Amino acid sequence: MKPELIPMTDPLDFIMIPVDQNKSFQSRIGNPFLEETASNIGKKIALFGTKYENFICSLFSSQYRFYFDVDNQYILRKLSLLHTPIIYRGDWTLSNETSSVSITKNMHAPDLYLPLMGLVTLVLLQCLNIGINNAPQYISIYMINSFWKCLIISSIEVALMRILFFLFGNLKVSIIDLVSISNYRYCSLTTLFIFNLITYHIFWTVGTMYILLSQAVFVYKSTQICIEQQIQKCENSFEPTLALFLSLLQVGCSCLIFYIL
Amino acid sequence: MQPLKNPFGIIDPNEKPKQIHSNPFDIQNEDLNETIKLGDNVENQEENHLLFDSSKSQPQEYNEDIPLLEDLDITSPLLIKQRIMSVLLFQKCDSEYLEDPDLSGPVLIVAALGLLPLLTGKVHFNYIYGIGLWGWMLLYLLMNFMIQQQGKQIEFYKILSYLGYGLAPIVLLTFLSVFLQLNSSFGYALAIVCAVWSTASVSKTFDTILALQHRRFLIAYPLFLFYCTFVIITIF
Repeated sequence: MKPELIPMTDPLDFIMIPVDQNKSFQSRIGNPFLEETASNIGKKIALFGTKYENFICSLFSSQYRFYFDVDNQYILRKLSLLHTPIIYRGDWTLSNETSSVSITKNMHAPDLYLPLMGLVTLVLLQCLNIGINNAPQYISIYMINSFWKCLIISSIEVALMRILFFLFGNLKVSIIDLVSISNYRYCSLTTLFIFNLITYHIFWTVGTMYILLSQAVFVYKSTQICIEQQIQKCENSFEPTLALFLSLLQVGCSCLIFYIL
Repeated sequence: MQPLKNPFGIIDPNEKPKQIHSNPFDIQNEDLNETIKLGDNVENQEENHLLFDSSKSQPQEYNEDIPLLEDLDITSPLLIKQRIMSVLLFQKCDSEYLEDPDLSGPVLIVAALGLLPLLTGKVHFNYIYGIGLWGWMLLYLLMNFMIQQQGKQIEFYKILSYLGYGLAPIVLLTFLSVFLQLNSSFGYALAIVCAVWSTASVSKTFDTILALQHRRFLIAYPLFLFYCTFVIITIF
C-alpha cells in the first residue's frame, strides 16, 4: 500500500509568491478610509523631510553665518578690545566696505562665537569652583540653573535695549547685534573670575570696578556704532543719552549675574 | 519517493535525496564512485585527487552564507573596537569611518558613561543625556555656521558619531572613579588630561574632514568645553 502523500505547507511560502504589482495599495489592505489616511500621512512625512532639508540649507546660508565667521586674529583683537576699551585709540567705526562681506576684516563687527563661549566658560568655571569648595553633589543642578538664569537675564536685557532704541527715535537695530553686544560681558566676567582666583580675592574690588567700567565703555562705543548706522544725515541729540542708558543697563545686568552666580 | 523541499518552499523534482551514510565522517565521491572511509590511508589516494581536486569536489547544496550581522550591514564589534582604539591612541582615522560613521559605538560608550557612575552611587543619566543632547545640537549649529563659508555642511549623525567616540577617554576616567577618589589634585589633573585627550582626538577628526586652516583652535575650544562638562559631572 502506497503511503499517502501528505501535502506539506511551508510557512515561508509567501516569500516566493510573486506579488501582483498592478494591484493597488488600497485594495491590499481592506479599509479604504484607513488606506487613504495612511497614504496621506506618508505623503506629509515625505513633504516634512523635504521642508526640513530646505530649512537647514537656508538657515546655514543665511545672514546668521556671518556672526560665526571668525578666525584666530579676530578673536584675539576682540578680546583685547573687550578688556582694554579705555586705552584703545583706534577708530570705533564699522567700515561700509567690509561690513557686509566678513566680520573677520572688521574688529568692531559683532559676532556670536565669543559671547557663547564666554557664557559656557563662565558657567563651567563657577561649577568647578563650587565643586572644589562647597557642595559637589549639587553641581549638575547648579550648572543647568546657572545657564538658564544667564540666558533669561540676557533676554530681558536685549528686550529692554530694543525698547530703548524704539523710544529714542524709533531706531531699528538688529536683535542679533544687540544680543552680541550685550553678551560680550561673559568674556569679561570670565576674566574677572580667573583674576579673583589667581589673586585670592585680594584685588577683588579693583578688578570688578575695572571690568564693569570696561564693559560700560565698550557698550557705549558699540551702541554708538549701531545708532550711527541708523542715522545717516541728521544728527540725533539723544545719541549720547541712549548710549549712556544702555551702558548703565549693561553694568546693572552684569552685577545681577555676578550676584546670581 | 517523496520529493524534497528546501526551506524556501521550492520543490525541485530532479533533486536527489540526501543519502545518509553509515559513518558521517566518510567522504563520498559520486564521480569516481568511491568512498573514503574514516581511518583509510589517504596517502595512496592522493593521485586520484579525491581530496585535493577542487574541480571534482562535491557541489555544495547551499551557497556559503555570510554572517547575519554582516548581511544586515551592522558594524561588527571588531570595527567598534578599532575605532575606539583609533581615538584613544591618536591613530589615523580610516576613510570609511570618516565617510560613513556609525552610531553603534557611541551608543555603547554613552550607555557605559551612564552605567559606570551607578557603581559609585551616582545616578546621572538625565544630566549626561540632557547635556549631551544640548551640546550636540549647539556644536552641530556652531560647526555648520563656521564652515558654511567654505560651502560645506556636516550632517547631524556624523557629529554625533565623532563626539560619541571622543567620549572614550571620559569613560576611562569614569571607570577609574569607581576605584579612586577623583575629588583631589590627582583627580583634577587626570580629568584635565582626559578632557584634552578627547578634544585632541576629535578635533583631529574634524580637521581632517573640514580642512580648517585658521580655525582649528576655534573648533577645538567648544569641543573642550563639551568634554569638560562630562568631566565635571564625573569627578563631582
